[in-house]
Amino acid sequence: MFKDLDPILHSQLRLAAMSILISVKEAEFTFIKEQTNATAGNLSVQLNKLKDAGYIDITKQFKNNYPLTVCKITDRGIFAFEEYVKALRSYMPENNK
Amino acid sequence: MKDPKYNGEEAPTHQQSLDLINEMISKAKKSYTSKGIASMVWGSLITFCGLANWVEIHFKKDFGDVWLLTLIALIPQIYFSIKEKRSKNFIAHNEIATNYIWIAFTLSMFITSYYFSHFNLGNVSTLIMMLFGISTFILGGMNKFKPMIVGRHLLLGSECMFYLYLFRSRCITYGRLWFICMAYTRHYFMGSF
Repeated sequence: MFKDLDPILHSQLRLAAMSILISVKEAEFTFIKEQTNATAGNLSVQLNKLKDAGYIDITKQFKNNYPLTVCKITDRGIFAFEEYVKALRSYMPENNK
Repeated sequence: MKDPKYNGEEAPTHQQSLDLINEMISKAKKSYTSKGIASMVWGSLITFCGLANWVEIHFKKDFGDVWLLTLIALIPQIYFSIKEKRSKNFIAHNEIATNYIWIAFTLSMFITSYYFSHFNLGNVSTLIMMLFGISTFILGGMNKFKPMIVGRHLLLGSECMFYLYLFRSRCITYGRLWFICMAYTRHYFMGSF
């Protein structure tokens, strides 16, 4: 039985960002950008989509007079990510024998 | 765009998705694992102090209080910690708990040392080693890292041996066990286990 894949997560950059955020308590925008090698503009758009879906929280603050964006995965995001991985596994050949 | 794989909004295949998740989790994990240099420096220093102390006792030498070197070593430790904190742009899951454990250990160590010294209760190093064993045990359990838990048992086992049989060579035992635990920590954080 194949499960539906969450369309919000089934996109490379959003999935990459979520995989990073599930590995840490919270991360600055620059950290996600470094890890994914994405451009700031593209990453910003994708993070906002995740935020609109309720999968991450984005906090804007200041650090040494410079703007700082901190992202944190929400409980809903963790649940969605886990469901997404479960669904992916159901598509793998070894699970369909 | 630096990485062409994020061009467009095309959906990845299932295998690509799984590979991407693995890649990103590994990359994030690599970022928050320490190289363990500080642990190695501390382990080596404590071993050196232990050996020097042993030479003092067995060969009737007097080098002064060699354990004061540990206080000097705190200066670069604090400097590098502050430097690292400033450049860090994420918080790992177990970071806060780990910090609290080491703070509790340090406070307990100072309080115990003061108490022993004030009431002239003898050598405190054995008790400090026990406190270190407890901290190591908790961290080992938190990280599900068996060698650290085993290290704790080694520490406590050595404590018993120390009291019963090896009273005169306590310093070298102390230094060696510090070194073992630091080496375990280093290998763990570098992902060698």
